[in-house]
Amino acid sequence: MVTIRYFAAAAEAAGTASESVQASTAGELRAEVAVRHGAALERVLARCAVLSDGVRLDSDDDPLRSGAVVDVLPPFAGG
Amino acid sequence: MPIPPVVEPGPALTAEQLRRYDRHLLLPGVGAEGQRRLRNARVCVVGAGGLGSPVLLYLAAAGVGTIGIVDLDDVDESNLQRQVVHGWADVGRPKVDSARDAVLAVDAGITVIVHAGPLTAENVAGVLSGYDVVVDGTDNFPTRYLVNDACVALGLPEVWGSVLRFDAQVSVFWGRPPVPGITAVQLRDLFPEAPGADDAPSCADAGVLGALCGQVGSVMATEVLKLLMGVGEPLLGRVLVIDALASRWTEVPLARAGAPAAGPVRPAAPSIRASSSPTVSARELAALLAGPPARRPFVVDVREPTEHAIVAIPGARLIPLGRILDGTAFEGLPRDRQIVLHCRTGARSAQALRAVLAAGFTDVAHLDGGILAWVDDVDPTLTRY
Repeated sequence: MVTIRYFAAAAEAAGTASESVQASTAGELRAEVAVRHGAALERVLARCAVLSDGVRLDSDDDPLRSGAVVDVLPPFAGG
Repeated sequence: MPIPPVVEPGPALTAEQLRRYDRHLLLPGVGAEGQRRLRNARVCVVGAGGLGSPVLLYLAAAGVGTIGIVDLDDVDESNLQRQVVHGWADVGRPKVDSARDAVLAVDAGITVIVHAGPLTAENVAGVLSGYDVVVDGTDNFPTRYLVNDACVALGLPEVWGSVLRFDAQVSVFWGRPPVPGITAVQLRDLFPEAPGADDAPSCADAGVLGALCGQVGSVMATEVLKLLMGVGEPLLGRVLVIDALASRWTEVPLARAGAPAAGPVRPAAPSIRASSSPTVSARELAALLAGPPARRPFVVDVREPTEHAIVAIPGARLIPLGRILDGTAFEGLPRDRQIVLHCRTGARSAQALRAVLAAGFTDVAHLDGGILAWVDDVDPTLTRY
């Protein structure tokens, strides 16, 4: 199991701040959360930093450690 | 991990300074020596807006000796809800002038250097070099990447904060720290490139809670002071994510792309990736480039010019990703030679690869692990960033 933490617009699109999913690669994780939360989250996810234990998941082949914490951060530039 | 102070102590404190900074002098790890470091420090605050305002006031109050202020805007009525260095009487004045006055009102002994006008690729290094720490509180992505890349090139630490609506992110970046043992991370490890204008709303579109800027700016000022004095543990390799509505602060670990964060060890990626996108390893690319001229690939660097200036693969042609995504670069790409695309870590080049393949080029690959893999596996004498 992998724990996902959603922040800001990503939490809004997912309707939750965190959840657990069964996934062993970044691609499986993306597919699973798209099924759960639909196109709105998929669109947000595409522009978010998705970090597993601090490292960006850029390829669908990137492996996920069991017990990993995946953080989903949307970019914004306000100052 | 504590890190050494970035500034040497200045002259002994005067009697007036001893009185003024009494509450700092009492602090373990600060004391007169820390205060002398602050007085000797030069900090550049880019953006005198919602975040820059509290940063400037706290740095001035803390006794930072030289403060640079960069902004190109005039004060607007709509700024006053959060930009607390500016008042009603300042509307219409250049922000740098209003901010300078506010800093000098706190302490007339501070040297304030104003940089009015836009930061550009041409002037950014000249503006930022000579400072000890740079603060990024700007309100747009292009300037944020410009400042990041310049700080990486100059080896400067950068305190970075960003706000929107009720949300904020704060971190410390140091892409090329001068001494080993310091976590090297930068903005591009978090967000490799700026999102498109339509993909990320601005405060002008979506709003921002003014007081949130105070929380974030205060964290940023605290991080600046810690770096200057070498006190505590900087917010390096960690992003502080603030949700003002829930009153929740969360720490998110951040590692250099391609390097595992501190904490639980990730399983190693399989050596041959079952990937649908064609890749070449750094060693394979080096072999191809050393091979017969007719078979040498056309290497395209899709990074930004400032990154290319830091380190480049010999012979690589610089074509920033934006020109590939908007199609203007295709005319200059050969159809009779293999094309190898590369960026810093492989994220942007994967995106470029999809665009080039979609444009009908067939003999295309991208460099697995980017130029960082090239530095590690082919030429370790080159600069990592």
